Amino acid sequence: MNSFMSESTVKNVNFDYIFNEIKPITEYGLKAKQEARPFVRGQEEDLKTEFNKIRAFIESRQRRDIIDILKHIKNILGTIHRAKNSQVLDEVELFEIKNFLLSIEKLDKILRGISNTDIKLLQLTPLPQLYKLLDPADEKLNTFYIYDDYSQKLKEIRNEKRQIEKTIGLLKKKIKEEVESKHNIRLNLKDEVTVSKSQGDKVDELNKEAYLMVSGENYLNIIYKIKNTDEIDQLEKKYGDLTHEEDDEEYRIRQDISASVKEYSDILLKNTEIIGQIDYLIARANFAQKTNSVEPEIIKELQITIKGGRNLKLEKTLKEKHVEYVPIDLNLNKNVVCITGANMGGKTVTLRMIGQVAAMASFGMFVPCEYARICLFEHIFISTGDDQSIDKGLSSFGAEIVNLKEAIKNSDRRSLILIDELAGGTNPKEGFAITKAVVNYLKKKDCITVLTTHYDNVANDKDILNLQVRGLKFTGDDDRIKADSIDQVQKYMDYRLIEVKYSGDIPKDALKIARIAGIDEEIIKDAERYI
Amino acid sequence: MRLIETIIQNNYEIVSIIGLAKNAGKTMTLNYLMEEGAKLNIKTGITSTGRDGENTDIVTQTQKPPIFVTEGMFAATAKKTLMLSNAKTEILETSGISTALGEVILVKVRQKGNMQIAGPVTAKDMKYVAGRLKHYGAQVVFIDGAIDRKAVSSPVITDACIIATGAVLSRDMKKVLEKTAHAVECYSLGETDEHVKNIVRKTNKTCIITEEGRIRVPDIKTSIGGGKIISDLIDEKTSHVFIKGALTSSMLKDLWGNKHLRGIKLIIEDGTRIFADIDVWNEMRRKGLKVEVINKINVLAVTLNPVSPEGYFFDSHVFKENMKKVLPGIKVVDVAWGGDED
Repeated sequence: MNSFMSESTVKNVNFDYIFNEIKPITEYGLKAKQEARPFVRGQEEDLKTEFNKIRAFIESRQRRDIIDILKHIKNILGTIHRAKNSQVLDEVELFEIKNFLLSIEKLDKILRGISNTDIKLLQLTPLPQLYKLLDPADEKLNTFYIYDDYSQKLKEIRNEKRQIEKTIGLLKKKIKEEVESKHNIRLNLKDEVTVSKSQGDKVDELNKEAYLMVSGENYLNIIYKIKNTDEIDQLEKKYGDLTHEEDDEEYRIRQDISASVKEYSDILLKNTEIIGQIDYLIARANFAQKTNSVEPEIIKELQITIKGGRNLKLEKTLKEKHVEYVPIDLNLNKNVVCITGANMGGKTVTLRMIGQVAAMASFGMFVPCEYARICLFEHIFISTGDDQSIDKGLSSFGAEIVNLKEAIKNSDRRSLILIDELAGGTNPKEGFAITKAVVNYLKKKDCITVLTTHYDNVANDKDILNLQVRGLKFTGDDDRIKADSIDQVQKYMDYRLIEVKYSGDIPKDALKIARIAGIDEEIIKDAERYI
Repeated sequence: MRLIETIIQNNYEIVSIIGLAKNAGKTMTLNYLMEEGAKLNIKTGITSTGRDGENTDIVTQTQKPPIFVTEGMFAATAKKTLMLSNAKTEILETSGISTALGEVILVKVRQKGNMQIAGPVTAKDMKYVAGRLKHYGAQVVFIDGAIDRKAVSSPVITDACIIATGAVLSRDMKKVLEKTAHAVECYSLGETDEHVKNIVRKTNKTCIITEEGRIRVPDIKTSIGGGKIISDLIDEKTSHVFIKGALTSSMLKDLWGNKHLRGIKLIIEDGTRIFADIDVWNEMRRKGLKVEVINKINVLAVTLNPVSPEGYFFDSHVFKENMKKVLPGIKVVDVAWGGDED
């Protein structure tokens, strides 16, 4: 992302916010999101295909069903790689593969039902051959066990074990009944009986009983327990031996299945990738719907037209404060566009909005506008006064110049350059000179540069588009309007942009705002004398 | 009636087993219940609050018996313990809940064997896992609750609990009886009024409630050490004081300093939150301390292990009879030597 947008640009157009809000469900989807690259100039057709896919998911009634399947898809990359490295998978891993295959089958069925040619590009590969190995009895259950059906040998071992278990149970039961009736005692579930030492005769009697042994004793009682006969001991030993054989056979079976998983590992990996793409597309479709975003029209010529554009992060912040966000219309059809007009007129917000819309479109997302027509860039840049370089010890002017250098350097590639108040913090004479020279330089480039400025002569050029914030809604020296809080200004502000021809009129909104905010009238009056 | 039958008849679906100390016979109790379930054809499920998974207790170096699981039973345990088990299992679900011993896996036992059980660590995960085991067919799910993880076996998740106690608590049988009776008393504390519960659920912080339902939330991070601050806010209008988290001896002493406390009710989340010394607790209860809980714990039975791994043991019969005397109305079962009497 770095050569497309610097980290500071990502932050300043609030693209980091957008990126965080897009939430794929599976780990494959997260991976696809992390690996996302912007579509740049020359990839217009690819981007249109991408948008087609998003639109197909938005329109598909099956989106819910797909999401339900995605929710159950686990990350089995580790398991696939283990199989690929000829490791023998354990039961839990085989269970995971089985469930993955079931999910693939279900997803594939749904995707085939969506009649959109671009969705067909997301081709999953179900593996019924491999699935069959994991479901030998064709039970279509999503559980896994080393089933008896895997081999005749396994079946026989298990049957024999069951037989032995049964025989042992019967033998024990027979002995228990015999002992109970012979000595007139009751043995508990653990085949034990507690006898008080005071019953000397009973103790002597039980001590002589071949089927019993002492299993515990204290100063009052003796506990007797049924002793295994040689026959039972032998059966138990046989049971143990069979268990070893069974373990070996199970291992052999797992080895066979794992080898097949290995054989199909590349197809499995490819499937995880496609699931990631589907997941990330759906995440973007969901986000587009949630934010009332639209598919932008992608054009080749250098131009941005936005109707009703919003910066989603600012919109959210304002919503929390119960303030309405005013969407902005603009048509950037010249290489350099100056935005002039009132302080607090939303000029910086407009820059951030343009940047966000362009970045979202480049990253294959629908855009928060009513309509947008936009070209692709190779670089997006924004410089705002609150840049973090200031924290690094540079003055605000110093930081600005460093940023400007980056923009100039990249202006040989098709760039979107957004500059807030270029040289606004230096002396007006030099500030104007620098701004004018930068504008002259950039207007020859294959870039769209949008800058906000207070220097009224910068836009005095037929090659430059001048957009002005409409500004405060009341007119003249209306001083009835006073407010205690500067926040009130937004009530009177008309944020819309209008195209103006150079007039030389100086907007007086700064003084009006100062008045609304309640600056001493004496100062306001005095200031007016200087205009 | 046998213990397992009591559970089924009362429709208890999730039952936790809480040991009052290590080696109090918790695992023995579990094994006993599983065995009984198998004999009576009751499908049981088992999981536990996360544990170390070692074969022996690191603390006491005594054998920690694994659970003996039989065909048809359900279990939820961490993958590492599952792989070490000699029981054969069918994998039903990989829960996505990870623990130090791997992901918690839900299984159905296809061939009997021994299995160490290490389940989820948080209450939320425990609730999910227990619910899933029921979904797959377990009629009752037992939660092996570690002593230091009582919260996970809290009544919010479980329908009832069984307390395992034993000779290991003290060489002096009287002490064992006293400690067990204290635990049962704490767990069985009565529930508070519905309107107080509602206030507490909404506030979800330590708070002081007046007769008119006004609420004051003291500015403390945890209840520990905040006793004095809380006490300062209690006046003649206070009707209830809710303490979130642990109720310790020092907290009780701080609160007791306020003369109005005798007339008001102390509310805690549930009986597992009481960490006060028995002497302090008993003295204050004698003097009239009233404590109620948000969630009552249903103590179904107390199981006894008269043998201590240190080598001494109590007479099973005497131990059981004495326990019955201090716990009137509660089922007492000696799981080590007798089990339920027929």
